Amino acid sequence: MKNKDKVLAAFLVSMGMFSALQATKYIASLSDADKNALVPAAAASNDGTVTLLCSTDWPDTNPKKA
Amino acid sequence: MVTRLSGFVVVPGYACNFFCEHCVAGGRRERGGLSQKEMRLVTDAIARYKVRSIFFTGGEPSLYIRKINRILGGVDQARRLNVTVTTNGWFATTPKRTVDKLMSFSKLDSVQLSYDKFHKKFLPEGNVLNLFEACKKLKKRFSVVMSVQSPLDLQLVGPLKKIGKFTIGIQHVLPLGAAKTNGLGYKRQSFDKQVLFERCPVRGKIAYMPGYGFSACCIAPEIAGRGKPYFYPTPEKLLESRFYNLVSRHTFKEIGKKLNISEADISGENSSPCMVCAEMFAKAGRLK
Repeated sequence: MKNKDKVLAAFLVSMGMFSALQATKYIASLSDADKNALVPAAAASNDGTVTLLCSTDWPDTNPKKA
Repeated sequence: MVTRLSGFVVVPGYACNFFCEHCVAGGRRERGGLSQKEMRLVTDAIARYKVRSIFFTGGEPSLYIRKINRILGGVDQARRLNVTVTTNGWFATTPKRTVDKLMSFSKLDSVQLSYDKFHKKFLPEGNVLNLFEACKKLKKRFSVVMSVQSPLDLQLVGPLKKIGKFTIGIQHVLPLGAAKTNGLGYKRQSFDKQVLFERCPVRGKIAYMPGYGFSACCIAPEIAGRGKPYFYPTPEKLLESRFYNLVSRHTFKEIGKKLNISEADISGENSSPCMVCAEMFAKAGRLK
């Protein structure tokens, strides 16, 4: 598994989208173009500017901080 | 002793000039918004509970600036209030128009733009840039909230990051409102039981929705079905309610136990705190 795939899988797990196993399978199924388009989001997640919010229309509700 | 509330979400009205197919308020198209009496109730609640942060959502709040300014004008401590508006950014067609619109709020600290593949159908990317620049000029905080239906929707983050440095909050589309009708809710591959050990992420906050009342939950109209069982005419009634006490003090596992809902009864199609909570209360029926 390439390093980029690992980073993207970890990003999707941190966004609450998949379990680690599911994320790995999902990333493996993507085309290179789709993976590359996700890279900026994963990078922004590392610098803290992309965060997961509670799934409602209440602003500023990060479930991990709740 | 009067409880201090950490945040107060106010829906000034449900009208919106976009028609997003995933909108949680998509099923509610009442246009009038808060009545005079409701605005007084909201103003009183802000003062009495020493609310520090107020969030105006919708509908589209910028269609209700007069009502918002009347509410803020009625609060003595308005200067100490932190005011956030969530907008679809429709007005940000030129830099000047954007600045003028933001300045028409009597008090505004933060702007949260809803932008995702659904809003993108109505909102040119230029509006995002105008709003970001206007917030920078006026020294307001700017952020984006992005609803995602599938992981690939996150590809929109890249173009946004080219506009400037700001926070992007990611939300999963909940199968509620128009998203439910259109089958657009985020679907997980399996139920994540870990969610049962979480607590309501918005506990300590309250909401006011016109025509409904005060609640601890902004999706209460959806979980309530017909009638308004999870809404209360005053904050006091809400804070005394069994509903408020359950969601503000307990994990979802504990709530399920108290409502006699077994874990096996939870479908868990969406393992988000809100949907698990909604499913439990819907199964439990109206609380006494």
